Amino acid sequence: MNLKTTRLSGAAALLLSIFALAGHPADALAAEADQTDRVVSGIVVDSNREPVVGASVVVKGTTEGTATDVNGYFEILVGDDDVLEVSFLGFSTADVNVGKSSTLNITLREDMKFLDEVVVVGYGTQRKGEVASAIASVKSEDFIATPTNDAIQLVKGKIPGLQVNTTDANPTSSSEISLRGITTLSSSTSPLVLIDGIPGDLNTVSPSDIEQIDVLKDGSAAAIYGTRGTNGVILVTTKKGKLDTPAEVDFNASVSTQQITRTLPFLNAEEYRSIVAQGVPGTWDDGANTDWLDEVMRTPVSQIYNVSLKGGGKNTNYVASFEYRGLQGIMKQSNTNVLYPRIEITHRMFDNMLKINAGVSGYQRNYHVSGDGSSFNTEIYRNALIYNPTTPIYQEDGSYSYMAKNAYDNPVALLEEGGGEHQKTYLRMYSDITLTPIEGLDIKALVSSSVYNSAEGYYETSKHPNSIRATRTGFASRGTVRTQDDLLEVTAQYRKTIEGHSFSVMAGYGWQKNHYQFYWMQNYDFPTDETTYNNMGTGAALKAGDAEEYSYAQEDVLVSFFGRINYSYKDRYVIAASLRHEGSSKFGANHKWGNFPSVSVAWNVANEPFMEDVDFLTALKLRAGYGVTGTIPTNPYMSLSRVNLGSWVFFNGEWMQFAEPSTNANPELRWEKKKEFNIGVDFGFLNDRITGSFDYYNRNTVDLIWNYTVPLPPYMYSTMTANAGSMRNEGFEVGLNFIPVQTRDFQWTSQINYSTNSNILTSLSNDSFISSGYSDQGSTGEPLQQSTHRIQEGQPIGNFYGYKAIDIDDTGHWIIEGKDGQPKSVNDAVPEDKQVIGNGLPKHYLNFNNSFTYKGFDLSITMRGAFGYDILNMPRLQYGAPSMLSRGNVLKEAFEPKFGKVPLATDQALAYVDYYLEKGDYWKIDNVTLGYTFNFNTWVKRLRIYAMVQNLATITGYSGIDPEVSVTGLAPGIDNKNRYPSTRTFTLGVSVKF
Amino acid sequence: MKKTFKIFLSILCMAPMAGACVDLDETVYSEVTEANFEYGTNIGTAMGMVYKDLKVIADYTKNFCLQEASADAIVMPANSTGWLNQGEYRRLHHHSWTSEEPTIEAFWNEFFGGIVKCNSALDILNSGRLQASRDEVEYAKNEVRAVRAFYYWYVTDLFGDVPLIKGSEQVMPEKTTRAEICEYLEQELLTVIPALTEETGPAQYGRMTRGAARALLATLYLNWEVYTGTPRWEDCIKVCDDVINSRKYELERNYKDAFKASGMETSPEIIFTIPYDYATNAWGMRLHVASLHSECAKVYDIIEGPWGSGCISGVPQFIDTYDTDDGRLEDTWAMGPQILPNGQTAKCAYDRKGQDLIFVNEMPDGDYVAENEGYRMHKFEIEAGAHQNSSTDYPLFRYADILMMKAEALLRSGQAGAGALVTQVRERAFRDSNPSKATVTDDQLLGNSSYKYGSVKNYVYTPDGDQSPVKFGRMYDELGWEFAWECHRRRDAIRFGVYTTKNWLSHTPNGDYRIVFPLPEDQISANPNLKQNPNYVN
Repeated sequence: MNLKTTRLSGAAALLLSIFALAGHPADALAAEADQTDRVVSGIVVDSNREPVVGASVVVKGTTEGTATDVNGYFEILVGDDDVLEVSFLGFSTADVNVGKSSTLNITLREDMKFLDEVVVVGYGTQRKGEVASAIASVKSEDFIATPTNDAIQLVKGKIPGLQVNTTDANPTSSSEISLRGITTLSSSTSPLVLIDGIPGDLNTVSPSDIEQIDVLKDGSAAAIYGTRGTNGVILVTTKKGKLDTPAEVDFNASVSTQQITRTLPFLNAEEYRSIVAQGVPGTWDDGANTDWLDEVMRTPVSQIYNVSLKGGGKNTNYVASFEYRGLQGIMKQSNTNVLYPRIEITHRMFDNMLKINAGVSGYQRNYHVSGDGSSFNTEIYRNALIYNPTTPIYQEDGSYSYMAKNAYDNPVALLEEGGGEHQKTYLRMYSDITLTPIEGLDIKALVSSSVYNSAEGYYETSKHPNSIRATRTGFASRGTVRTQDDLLEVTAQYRKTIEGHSFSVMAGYGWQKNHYQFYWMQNYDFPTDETTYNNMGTGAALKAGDAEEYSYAQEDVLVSFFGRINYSYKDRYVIAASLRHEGSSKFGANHKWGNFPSVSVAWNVANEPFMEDVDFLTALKLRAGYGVTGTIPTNPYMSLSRVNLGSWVFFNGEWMQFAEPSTNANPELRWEKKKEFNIGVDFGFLNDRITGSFDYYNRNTVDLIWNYTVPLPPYMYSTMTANAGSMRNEGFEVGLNFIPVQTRDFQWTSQINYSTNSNILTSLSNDSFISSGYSDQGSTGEPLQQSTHRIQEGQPIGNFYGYKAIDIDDTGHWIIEGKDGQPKSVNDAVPEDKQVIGNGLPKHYLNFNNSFTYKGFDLSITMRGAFGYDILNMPRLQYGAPSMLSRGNVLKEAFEPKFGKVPLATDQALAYVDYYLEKGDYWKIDNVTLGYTFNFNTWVKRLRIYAMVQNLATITGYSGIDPEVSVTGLAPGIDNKNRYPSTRTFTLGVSVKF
Repeated sequence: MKKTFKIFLSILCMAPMAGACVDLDETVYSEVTEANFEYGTNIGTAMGMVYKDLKVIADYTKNFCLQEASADAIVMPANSTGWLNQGEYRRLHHHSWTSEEPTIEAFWNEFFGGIVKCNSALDILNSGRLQASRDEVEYAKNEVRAVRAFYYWYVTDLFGDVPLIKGSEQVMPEKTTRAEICEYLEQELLTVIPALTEETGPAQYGRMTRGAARALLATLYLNWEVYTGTPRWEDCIKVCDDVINSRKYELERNYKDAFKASGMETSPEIIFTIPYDYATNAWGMRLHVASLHSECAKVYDIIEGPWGSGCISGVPQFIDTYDTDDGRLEDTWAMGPQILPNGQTAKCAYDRKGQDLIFVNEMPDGDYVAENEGYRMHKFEIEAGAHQNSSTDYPLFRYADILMMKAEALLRSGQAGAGALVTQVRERAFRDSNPSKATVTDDQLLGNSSYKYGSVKNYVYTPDGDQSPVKFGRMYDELGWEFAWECHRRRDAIRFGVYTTKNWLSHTPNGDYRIVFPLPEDQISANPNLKQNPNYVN
């Protein structure tokens, strides 16, 4: 057998690949060689599908071999029975059976041990083996296939304990994120998001630009972020250019459309007419047949284009990218158009002693608004549900059909006669300088400024139902918002390893200022509708004192000193400790500063000498950590005695403004603190074919910030923002990764994540603030006007609190269980009859992700579910009663018997009873993506086409549109009756690498 | 540790900036801190806040429903457009309210907030921070004390024994008995009355004047027997006479003129009032939108219409007590067909959609009604172009109050002259229909009420419950006709012994202890020194 390395032209390679795609092995080429020896070509790529340059390709058992070229391409003369041995430094060697193939796509796996992955920690990076805290890390190759609406969806279901909830399909809304339960009462429950170390939202960065997402889950990891760390920290690392790498251009394009997953079964025109014929009170027939939902919905088309350039020379690397997203929503006119520009350059000088990095990134986002200050006006959807299906859209004279009923508007008129635009820009400017005077010591200074501007306008024409009702000619509002977040951070880090003793020390200072301002005005009675909101001065109402305008500004400062020490011995014993000393301007004079310590330890059992012979175990690490994090109140100035001048009094014959205290000032306001204990184990078996982690945590929040009831008198107001109360969350997380099949052509990886959390409000009082121990939360909205939830000492957050319906009487009125356990009519109900009737917080989350690659094909299926919670089905509560016929259309079930007896009476007012609570458990086939990748040896290096379905199917007993309802805050689990419907999305896309 | 930080800092920040690196003082932009605020020369800046919380009085979600929907003249039933509001209004009608009613809590918070603001205003006035003359400051202090007395009268009338806080000391107060509070209020008022101005007119409109303080003192004396067990009729008569003899007040020629949307600053009848104003957010007067039907927006040409088919209605049995010639029936109630500007009758829109919108004086019961059942509010002028919060003011004391209080005190103390005073008030109501009917005699006033007490179910009236005559019942009726919608009825019903004894509509008595409301549960929890009122379990 002799070795021949022939370089085919790029065109021939392309031809070859096309043959391969067409399913015809390159018989023509094979025929030219003899039966045993023939030319086989192939491409060697890494798991990112990047070509591996200079990999050795050898016929096993011989010295015959070649190396891959700059495109990862090779050719070799082989026989059918030969085995190719492909190897390259840093990768596991792959043995490839040649068989009948004439082209080979070979993927080399990075020879990285599970515990050798680099994870991003606060102010630095560490090997997973060195980490003693609970940190989850997801690299871009494991992301959920793009396009996604926001960055966090890349890791949806990938991190145990991190819940990403998509509650509607509004193109302007973003996901709800929560980590390890609810740990605060009144502050945000969203994790801190840092993009390359700079605070930002998850929608301030294009998902395509992200290289890695790390989540600091437990207190020992997050304590280094002090007061912002309680809800966990999400560290987003963007893609960077590499030194000594030729310029590389990626282009991605996708187009998608959506369909509604389910529509609510309201009466159609014919069914409604039959109700009219029965003479049911409040119904009437206008003679037409209108499908209102159809009139306000559409088949949307969304497009995303992204181009990025990255590379680097000897001392300088760079990345630049640009993305356009034109997303349409399923409700007419709802949309969002986004541009994501980004450019970043890093330069090293003085023999790498100094590294300078600078960049800008951000977005421009414009979207249509159909409500004053909102994006999509959910009134359009609500009215499309309830508007009489026998009413025509237009009256005979061409004007919109109209009725002067409250909360009853022609949805088409709302849609077409009102509208405007929000135009937002966000710019993040940043630079850092790293000085490395001696080996192991990095001194880094980071400055950044993030500026957000929003210009908002909205207009209602004279034909808009609101204008007709209020007899005004046109209505307009304008508003602006500007925020500026400035950051300065200086850190110094020193690492040293002496004879198996590794240690690193980090210390730093941080200063952050957040400034917020807004202005908003409205006006009406305009001389023409033509100028919409672009000529506010021509309206008459502001001059007459009837319209309103506001402006506001606030600012807060956060200053911190922090440090961390890590020590490990021979990668077996790890100990880390950190401390943050942090001050916020929001607190009382005596409590500005707080200390947030952490300590964590780990034992890498697998690295012990006595484990050397245990071959099946590749990793085993035991971890334990404890850390304290804090929470700042949402609003500044709560500790100050402020004077409000906004109220007027008639005094001395004229209206004049007077001074009054704004709130009960609390100079004792201080940090809310969360103390968290976490133990965990990381393991890898069978050459890391099975890896995983278990974590148990116990988080105790003390000094809960809340508006506590205070005695009035002596206080002027009945509540005060103060610290009292405590809450506990306890939970368990499992993450398991399998590689069940790994062959040359076929690989199957599988992931199972499970988490559970239990929450209890242990106290809502302390010595100074004695509360009744409960607080009612949530609202059914009008016309019922009732709270839905109760938080109560000794109970978990999320309890639904209402009447328990046990029967219905002969005339169609609810019978509830009284306080004494005896049945009574709901009309005689008193508040004491209310009881806990369910809980809206899921107890269990489970994710099951699978991905398959076969030759050029890739298939990924992600599935997830939430279990053990109840949903308050507001659409049924609100529209499932015949009394609501007086307000518009109702659900078919309004006429169905309750408890198998009789339907509700027409004079049974709406009631908040547990009949409307349903089990929310669901299992979703969330994302299915099928792709095929072509590798070329030409100016196009790689091309991938794919098709994707999101929210494909939901298995659930819940009868509403989608059981994935909002589960954050103190009133979780309500299926809002006006909720923008959820959809199924179909996407076709292409990625090209040049 | 701190020292290390400082050294670290001085390296990090250039020396002059080092302070800024750890500066955590708050910068306030849209508000002013108390410490920095300049009160200036206008005394209203410092004391304006004492009047703010009075606006709660006409608020149907806070005070109005407690005063009116718990008594026998007004009811707030649910209907197909809502208005159940967790059953609060229904429980007021049934006298089954609990200590957790949001209405009670809201009222407590606003009114005690007003009291604390009075104390706070006195502190500011005493602090010397105002650039005003000594006389001006002294006058203001007396005015604030009079306003505080008004708040205290109101809370003790509603709750009985309540905390009495006279200064800004931060203690967890205990309750003071109603009798002690009344004595304190009497002393306060007697002290400040001579110091307050007797003048009326725009400069004093909406403020506590000598007349207003006297009207308050007279009201206190009128109810002294209820509050303390001992009557003070003679004192009541004397204070009323002081007002009458001051010759600063007289009745408006027309009943309606006392409730106009504008021009009230010069009304001779208004002694004390709450000025409301849409444009300056002096909001709270929303009785029209809570009572009328949404279609009435077109009838009255108002910008923001009533909500659904409205709620606050007259109890049919009460409406039936009116003499049909009494002009106040039409001036007080929206009844019959609702006529649009084009002359046509407005249409029902909800459960009786398509039918003419005719307010009828009948109800199946007090709990749930059809959209056009019950007479509605027509008393306070609804200006064309009005918003949900209207600019129509809400009188607290009118000259008619003085005349009627004196009449009642005379009647109750067995003296002659009540009939003449009541006749004086009635004259304008019958002037255009049947002037002879205006006259009422002392003897008539002593007679029984014309109210047919008893319950109503499925439109059927049953004369059940306590049917014994109401003492001075005609006087009670006269008060009802004159002061409907003015937050008098509960107080009058208690004084005339009706409140906890009679049946009306769906109401049956539910305990004498309900002449006072329970303290809000939140306050009982937050202040361990507060004890709940008798018989209220929670």
